[in-house]
Order: sequence, then structure tokens, then C-alpha cells
Amino acid sequence: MSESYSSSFIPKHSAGKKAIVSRKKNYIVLSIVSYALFVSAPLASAAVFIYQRHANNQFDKAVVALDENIKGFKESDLTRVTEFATRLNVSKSKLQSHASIVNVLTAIESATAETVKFKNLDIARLDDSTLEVTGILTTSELDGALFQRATYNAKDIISSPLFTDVKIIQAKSENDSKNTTPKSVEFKTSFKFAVADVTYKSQSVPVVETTVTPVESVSEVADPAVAEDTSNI
Amino acid sequence: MNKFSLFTQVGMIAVAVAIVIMYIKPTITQIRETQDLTTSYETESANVSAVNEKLKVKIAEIEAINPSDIAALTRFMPDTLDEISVLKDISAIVTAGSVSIFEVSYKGVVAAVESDALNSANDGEVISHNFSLSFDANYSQLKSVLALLETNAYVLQISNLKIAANDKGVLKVDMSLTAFSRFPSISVIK
Repeated sequence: MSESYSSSFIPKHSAGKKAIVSRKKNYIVLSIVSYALFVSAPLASAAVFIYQRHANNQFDKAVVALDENIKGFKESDLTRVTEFATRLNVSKSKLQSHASIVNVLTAIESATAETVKFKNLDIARLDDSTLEVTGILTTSELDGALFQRATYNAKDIISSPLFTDVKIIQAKSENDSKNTTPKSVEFKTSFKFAVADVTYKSQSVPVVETTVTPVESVSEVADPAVAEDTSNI
Repeated sequence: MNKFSLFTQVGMIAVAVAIVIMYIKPTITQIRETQDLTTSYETESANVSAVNEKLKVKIAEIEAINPSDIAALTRFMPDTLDEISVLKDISAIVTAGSVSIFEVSYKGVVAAVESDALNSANDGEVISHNFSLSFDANYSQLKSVLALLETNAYVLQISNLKIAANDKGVLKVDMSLTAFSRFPSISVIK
């Protein structure tokens, strides 16, 4: 019977052969993966270690560079620059709001009729941008007051002109009770000037040489670094 | 299949995974943190360097200014103001304006400004020093004095001017003048 089986021309099914082949294939794949991982993990560790050292070196260089830049920063230089800048800005601001009273008087002269006289005149600085002028004016005729009002109203440089307390004064003469002294008209006026319209501009006025300066010695500055810097200036 | 080989391979994979988890991953995290720090340090370093360069340029600009101009600026807006010197300057100006009889006095620092100044850390503030000036003059003398006050080396701001004419045409002039000094820096106060 066994001979007849082996000599049979019908192919026999070999049970378990394919399974063995597939297990071998899986085993080979697992071997490749495990060896690859086992080799690559230390290699990757080495690469990461080297890269970490490189990153640390870069960090150290950045720290050194920052330290050097910080050492290169001079606080005294900053103080000198900021002091100069603030002084310049404050001076500029004061110069821009420096109203010329001469210009104000000139503007009033040009706007005031010859027949009108000032009894008194007050000029007050309301703020950095406005000057207020108040005055009591007299003239011989009421027409003079009307003309003056029209003139002030027409001047662009004069703003908000107001005319109040208008009085017509006509006193009797002591010598002759029938005659009267010429009447006079008195009125109060007030108006404003914009400082921008009358700012100080350099003129050819002789400058008085003042011998004593209001600036105290820079050695009195408490901060020695600042004193050193300003003394260089 | 050799069972021992299988266990070895599984063990190799486990070791590899352990290396990744216990060393490679934390190290990469550390590297990222280091790189972030490096970037921020480099940025700050660049900023400090830029400030240093700007400062050098500004210092060079200041040093390029004529020393007499800087002295004039310091005189125009002084750090401190000696009221006696200012009184002397005003007297010299009034005398130069052909006015011989006058009265000039120091009225002190404006209280509100001084109070604000002491409580403020603003270097841009100024301290106002008030003076009063009275004299009798004719109109041309008055204009001459005013013009001379305006051309002074430091600001003498006329904050109030009162002019009253008498019967003889003589003007009685009263004015308030303000001189300024720069508010001292915090370091000076301390």
C-alpha cells in the first residue's frame, strides 16, 4: 500500500510547507527590522548627542555675543544723548511759544487809529498759545470809537475783539459855565493774539552781553557719570 | 524557528525603542529648547547691538555739533538757575534800554510747577522762576527794553505786562518775567 501511494501519479498535498515558508519570511522581516532598529538607535543617539553639543555651542556663542554687546553698551552715553535730546526738545518748545511783545505792540500800532489813545494797556499770557490784550482807549469823537472797532474787527491777527464800558465824557469848563470842554469818548477793549502770529523772530537788535551765566557748574550735578559726560560737551 | 533568536530580536527592538524613548526624544526636546533660547538670545543681542550702533551715531552727531552751539543750548535751557545772576542780567538789559530808574525782584518758583516737578519723573518738565520788573519810560524806551529782553541768551518770557500812561506821557510799566530751568533728572533728585 505504501509503495502504491508513493508511486501514484496524482500529486499529493504537502500539508504545512507553505506555512513554514511564510513563517520564515516573517522571521526574516522581523530580523531585518530588529537589526535595523538595534543598529540605528545607537547611531541616532550618537547623532543626537553630537547635534546637542552643537546646539549647546551655538547657545554658548549667543550668550557670549549678548554679554559682549551688553558690555559695549554705555549707560553714560545713553544719559548724555537723552539729556541732550530732552534739553533740545524743551528748548524748541519754549522757542516756539516765545511770543514777541514787540511784535504785539507793532500789530496794535498798525491797527490803532491816530485819533485813539491808550490810557492803559495790559498784555497777559493766557497759555502757551494765546495772549490777551486789554486796554482803555480814549478818543475825542464817537466816530473814532466806531472806526476803531471796525479796524480791530477787520484785522486778521486780532481775534475776538470786544468793546465794552463805552463812556462819553463832557465836563463843564470852570471859567465859563456856558462853554463845555470838548467831549471825550472812553471805552474798554480786549482782544486776543495767537502766539504763533507773534512769535519771536531773530531781529537786528543789539544783544546785551550779560556777564553772569545762570548755568551752574556741571560739577554740581549729582551723578558723576553725567557730570563727566556733560563736561566733555 | 529558533525561539532564542526570536526573543533576542524582540529584545533588540525593545532596547532600540527604550533608547528612543529614554534618550533620543528627551534630548531632541532639550535641543529645541536650547535652539529657542539661542534664537531669543541672538534676537536680544541684535537689538542691543542695534541700540549700541544708534547710540554711537547719536554721540557722533552730538560731538559734530559746534561746542559753542552746545554751550548756547545749555545756557538757553540751564539745569539750574541762579536768580541773582538773572536779576543782574535783567538790570543790565533795562540799563541798556536807556532806563535808569527801575525795580526788579525775584518772585520765586511757581508752587504748582515745583510741586508737580518734585512728584514727576518727567525729564521734559521745566521749572518756572518768576521775576517782576517795574520802571517808568517813554514808549521807545519800553520797546527797546522789550526787544533786548527778547534777544537774551536764555528765555525771559513776559507773562504779564501792564502799561499805564500818566498826564505827562510817561509810561508806568510793570511786568512779570519768567525764566526757565530744566527739571533735574531723577538721579540728581536722589
